[in-house]
Amino acid sequence: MNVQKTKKSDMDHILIHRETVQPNRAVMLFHGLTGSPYELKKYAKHLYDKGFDVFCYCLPGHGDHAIDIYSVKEKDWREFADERYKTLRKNYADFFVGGLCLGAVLALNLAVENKDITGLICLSTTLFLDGWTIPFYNFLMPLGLYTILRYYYTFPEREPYGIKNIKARSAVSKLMSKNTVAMDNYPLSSVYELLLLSKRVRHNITKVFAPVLIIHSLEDDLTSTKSAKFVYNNASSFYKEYVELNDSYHLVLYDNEKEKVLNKTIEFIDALSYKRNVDLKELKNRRK
Amino acid sequence: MILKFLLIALLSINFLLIVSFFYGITNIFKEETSPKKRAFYSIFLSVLLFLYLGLIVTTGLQYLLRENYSTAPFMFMFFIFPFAIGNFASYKKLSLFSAIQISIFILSLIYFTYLYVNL
Repeated sequence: MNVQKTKKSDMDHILIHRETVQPNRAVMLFHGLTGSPYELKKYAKHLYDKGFDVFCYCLPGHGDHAIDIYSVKEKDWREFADERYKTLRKNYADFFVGGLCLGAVLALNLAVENKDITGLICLSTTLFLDGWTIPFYNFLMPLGLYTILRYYYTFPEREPYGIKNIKARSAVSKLMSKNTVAMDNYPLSSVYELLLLSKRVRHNITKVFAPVLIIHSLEDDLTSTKSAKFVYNNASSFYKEYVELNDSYHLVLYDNEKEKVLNKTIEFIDALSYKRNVDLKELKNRRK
Repeated sequence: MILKFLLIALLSINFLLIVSFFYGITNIFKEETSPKKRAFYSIFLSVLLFLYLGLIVTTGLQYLLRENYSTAPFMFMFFIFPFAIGNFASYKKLSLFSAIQISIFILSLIYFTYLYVNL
């Protein structure tokens, strides 16, 4: 096993679980806005245990200094994802792309431009900012978004941190104070870039042909199920699966139904993967 | 009477916007300030900007209703400038664009004072 972790700062910069002898199927995951690969760590590990090479990269603007997020453009995210995809794709027969929040939007955008993606995993896809924690003064947002104020406007991360499970919430809160899992606030300029990317994806959603698994919580605090339903109703994929969660908020990988998310993901990628009959016992022996 | 009231309101908000924006840049929007405080101050500025733009539209319409068409281009310019600056602004040149934005606010203050004096 080659578990590669490169640290440039407190946050994991790259998290890769890769076989020396390639299992011929891989998953590339992208984290959410102002998050880090850390938020995908356990999920990635489970997928790795199921016989996948897993790649979680730290997106531009994240990881080094909080200041970087101010100057990052959605084009940087798109180019970064595309470059990583093109580099890795040729090495695998089956290649899945997925992500959480911004990561899911990025995965959809990748599928618009690349038709050879085996499957998409969209967790808490953020195409519309209309969750229940979006404040009443949201109507002022365009004034922030389209003027110079977007570089000054910051959103402090606050309870419930996108997590319904109280235990997990307090753990994330502690990690956040150490700045190891995500930033404690995020600028409106980054939300602006996310919304630009979302707009682009919404506009091109019919060009998504890859099979897609959409997992979204009914109680998502940041983005309602409208985003998930939009993808489900408009993507041109021959296979679409929409899973609604009832006991989670936005960060579904940390919340009460994380096992369900994982199981649904495994079911989805196993059903689509040509190499699904990987001998896990043999793989485990090889790893030992 | 309505126009006089609108111009007084516009002048007050415009002045408050200049002072608040300048104060924000020099004192609030700094790394050492808590994110919560920065967030509240940003909302405060957004409210001021909302009022400023709303008053420009209302005052501009009042002038149009009085068949005074010469003010319309200026009103339109002051309305559109914050968005135009926002479109071209980048984080790397934020100081420059902030200075341009404050200058535009000062120019608008001068113009609205001129309108008030010549009412």
